[in-house]
Parts: sequence; structure tokens; C-alpha cells
Amino acid sequence: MDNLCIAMAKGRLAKEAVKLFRQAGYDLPENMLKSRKLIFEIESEKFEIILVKPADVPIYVEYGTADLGIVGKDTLLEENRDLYEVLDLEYGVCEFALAGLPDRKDTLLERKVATKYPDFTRRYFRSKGEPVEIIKLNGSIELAPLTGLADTILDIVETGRTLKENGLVIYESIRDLSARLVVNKVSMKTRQDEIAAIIEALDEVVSGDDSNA
Amino acid sequence: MNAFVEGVRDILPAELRKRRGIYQTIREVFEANAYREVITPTLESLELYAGIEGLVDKSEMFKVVDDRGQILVLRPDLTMPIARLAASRFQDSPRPLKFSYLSSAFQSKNSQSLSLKEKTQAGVELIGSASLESDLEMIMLLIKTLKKVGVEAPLIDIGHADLINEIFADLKIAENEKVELRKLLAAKNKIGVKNYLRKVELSEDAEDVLLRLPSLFGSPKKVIEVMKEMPLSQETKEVLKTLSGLFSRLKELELLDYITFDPMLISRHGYYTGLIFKGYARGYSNLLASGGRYDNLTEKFGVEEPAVGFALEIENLLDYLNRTENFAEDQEKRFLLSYQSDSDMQLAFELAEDLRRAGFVAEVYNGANKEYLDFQQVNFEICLEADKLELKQNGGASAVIERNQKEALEYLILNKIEEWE
Repeated sequence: MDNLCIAMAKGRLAKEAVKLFRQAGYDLPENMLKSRKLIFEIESEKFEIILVKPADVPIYVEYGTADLGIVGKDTLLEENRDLYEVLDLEYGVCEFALAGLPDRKDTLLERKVATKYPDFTRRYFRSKGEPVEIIKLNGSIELAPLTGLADTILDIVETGRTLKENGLVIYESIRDLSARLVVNKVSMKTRQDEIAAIIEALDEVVSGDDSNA
Repeated sequence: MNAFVEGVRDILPAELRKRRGIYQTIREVFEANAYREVITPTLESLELYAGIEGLVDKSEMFKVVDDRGQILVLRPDLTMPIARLAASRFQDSPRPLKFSYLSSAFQSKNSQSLSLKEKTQAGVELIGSASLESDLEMIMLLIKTLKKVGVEAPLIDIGHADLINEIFADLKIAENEKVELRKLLAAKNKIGVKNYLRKVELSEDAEDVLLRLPSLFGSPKKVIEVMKEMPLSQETKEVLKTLSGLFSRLKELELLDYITFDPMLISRHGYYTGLIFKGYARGYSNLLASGGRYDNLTEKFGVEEPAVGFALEIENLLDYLNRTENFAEDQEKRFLLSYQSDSDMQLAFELAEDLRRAGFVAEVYNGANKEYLDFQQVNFEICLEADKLELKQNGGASAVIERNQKEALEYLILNKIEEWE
């Protein structure tokens, strides 16, 4: 049978993911992410690891190109794909928050929200019944209130330092986020034994950390 | 001009040949099992589909307005039209009704893989029978069909719509909160369930059950055994008993190796009322088929009767077969005939007709060059000359055959080809 394909979100999450797999006893090369390769065959574990942009992890997994994926909950919420989300890996912890300049306008009229997560933002405000104009940006969201492009931003906040340094404050915490292990719905059934073993091994590391802390 | 529409595509000869092979196999299996094919209209009334919870969202249907202002839809699914047929034109016909179909379904947004707006679906519907045997028949027929088209190791994942409902029946949770929990269980989201349990107050037994459900699926025997020990309601146990019955029958038929059981299997189609199943292939991560029991669907037409059916996702099936190269494709030989003298035209056409009768593809064309021969995938070229004919393998050997008597020509040509092979 083919190697099990695991899609990891390029960047910090992938680094943590490699560490986690190593802690769980999987034989991944420690420095594998130092190279510029995007695809790694780990023959000893029968893995194929691919590095993709975070937002693409759910897509690779939903389409079944990857059997498993490691990605932030923020991306999962934005992409809203049909997947099994089986494990909270408890790293990459942050939150979704609304933020803006300290003197928040009270009026709900004509509120403009800048975000990298337009779909989640739309659903969030719809569920609250608030009409807003959503402006999709691709980075440096903090600039939006400073330049007057928008009055509010919806973004991920980890320590809050970037907000503070730009003179912004959190209006509202929406929900906690962290890295998740997701599984293709068909692979979960057709390759149950292999996948269950991985879930169990990773779960042990994650939960084990908990009891030590 | 931009004449392209996103999400739809042309099907070209090479793919169409493969499709025809699959279509033929599927139709043969369905017809041989007494499921007669029907073709329902591409256009249906919006009312047929409106208000059926969980079938297709209204916003995902293609709407058309006719000249009287009536709103029509391009059929988003093929089960509803057959339910309509059963409840109208076949209302007084003896039961069970057995129908099959192979047509396109249209959806403007398709969250499933291979996001096509036009999908081909082939399926069967068995209407008017609620027996375990009819459930069994569906699963057997699905396995048979998948194997016949070239899926070596099909896998049928079985669930039951009532299981999740009955497990919920016992829980003292508000209706709107159940929706969330249902979603979490369907997504096997253990983390979500854990967080959810912090918000609601449930008995320890119930919490234990809910936490174990996300990882409880797989071998029918094992899952049933685990669930038997769980503190579940009487109704849930009844459902499990029914499923156990189904599994033991499948075992008798030596089909249990193809079966997995997922108590929390939930279909996108909310209309299923009993058995739910999905068809996969080992090593392929997309859905090949889905089906189940929908005992309430004909209620809409004022007739309540049990029904069960399944649909194959043809595009996914093609994708799978392409990857595994499991096509049972017949390699037909293709001939191109040409002549030099006008007086040979008749002979060329007669010879071409002889070859067609013998099961080959033959065309008569005098202007063919190498590019044309390749494009048309011609295997053999026959050039009629004054007193002989030249037989050429496209890009290979050639031979000269004397033209003495017409009758013998076809024989001589085929002999030569056989010799080459």
C-alpha cells in the first residue's frame, strides 16, 4: 500500500509537528525542515510528508491527496472543510479576537471589519445578527484601523504584543485556537489501523505533557 | 468572448470510451438484478426539492424561470424524481418497485471533491419494501457493481440514522445544543465533544459514552461488542440488534470482509431514516458511492412507503480507475482506407463495411497525413492501388497484397495483421 501522506502547514506549526512526531517515537529527521524540499519520503515509517501553505492543508486532506494534516484551528474555521478533526495538539495556542483603536465606536452602523479570515468573519457576525462590511486583507491587518481602512479587525492574537505596539486593544475574545490533527474521512475508514496508531501515539505525547505540567 | 463555464467540462473521445465501458457494466449489473432504467427530466419543479431537509440547499440549486414565470431547477439529485414517479405514475403498481438510473445531477456548489457542477450518478432505488433482505440486497448489489467495474477491494461503511437519534433521545440536552453535539460526533471531533461536555451537565455514563463514540468504528463485530457493554437506551439496543442481524447475514454470504461499521456515520443527505452506507476503495480517499434507507421521502407526495437505494459517483469512480489502471478496455483496431482511382471508391467503401461488420473501426479518407492518422488513433492504413493494395501498420511494418478477388481481400488483410502480432 502507498505511504500514508501527511500534510503539514509550512512554518512554525510544521516545526512543532516534526518535534511532536519525534517525541511520539517516529523516525523523522530532526533537521528535515532546514532544506527547501516540499516533499519527504520517510521510508522507515511509510510516511510521505508534504509541506503546504496553512490554508491549503484542509484542501489537501479533504481531496484525499493527503490522508492526515496538521493545521491551525483558525485555518480550519476559515476553510470549513468536510474532515475529521481528531486531536488537539495543544501547541500554536492563540485566539481569535476583535480589536481596534482604544476609542471604539459604539454604533453598529457601517462597521468595517478587516481580516485575513473573511469567511469565518462573515459567519461570526451573521450569527450575531450584526451587519458588517468585511474587507479581506492578506497581511499586516493591524494597519487597517491605523490607516482608517477599517474600524475593527478580526485576527489571531497570541501574546497581544503586536496589537499593543500598534496602539490597538482587544475588544472581544472570540475563541481559543491551537493546532489540530485532521483526517480525510475516507482514509479514516480505509486505513483505520495505521491512522488509529498515529492518533494514539500523538495523543499520548500531548496528554502526557498535560499531566507533567 | 469567454465561452467557458467554470465547473463543467467537455468529455472527449478517450474519456468517453472509458465512460461507456463503465456505463455498460453498471447497466448490465443493474438490469440483470431487475432494476430497470428510467430517465427523468433534466428540469424539475423547484417545489419537488424545496423543503426537503438536508437534501440540497436551495441556494445550491440551478434555477431556471420558464415562460410562465414558474421556477424550475436542474435536478440536483436523482432520488427525488424517482420517488415522484413511484408516488404518481406507479402509485397503483405492485410493490416493490425497482428502478435504476444513470444521469447527470447539477449543483452550483459542491463541497465534495472534484467540484464539478454537473456530476454523473448511477444508482438504484428499491421502493415499497422495508425488510432486512432489501437492505441486504442493496449492499450486495453495491459490492457487486463496484467489483464489476474494477474496484478490487471495495469497502462498505455502514451506519444507521436512528443510532445517533436514539443515543440523543436519552440525553437531557436542549434541542439547539443537540445540533452542535451531533455535528461534533459526526466529525469525530473528540476535542469538541470534550469541550462541549464542560458546558452541559450530563450523567457520568452519558459522558463516557459520548467521549468514546468518536473513536468507535471499524470492524462490525468489535464495535457491536463494545456497544453492547455501553449503558445505552433500549431503543438504541434495538437498532444495534437490527444491525447485528444484518452483519450476521453478510457474514453468511461471506461479504463481511468488505464491511466496516461506524455508529456515527451521518450522511449529507438528511433524508435517510434507517440504514446508511458509503462505498470506498482501499487506497483511494474519495467517496465512490453512498446510499441508505429513506422511508419518509415519498410522504411529500401523500404516500408513505419505505424505500432504499444507492448512487455511484461516476467521476470519482473514473478517477479511481484511472489511477489504478483497472480499465477493462477493449482494444479495438482502427482502419483507414484510401484509394487512388475513382473507380476504386466503391471497393473502398465495401471493404470498410466488411471490416466494420467484423467488429473493427474503419473510415475512408484520401487526405490523411501522419498527424491525422495519429489523432484518429488509426492502427492500420489500407491504400488501394491499381492492381494491389498496401497494408501499413501506423508507424510500423507494411505489406503488399495482390488484388485478385475482392472476397479474399478482407481475409488476406486480417491474416497479415495476425501474422504481425
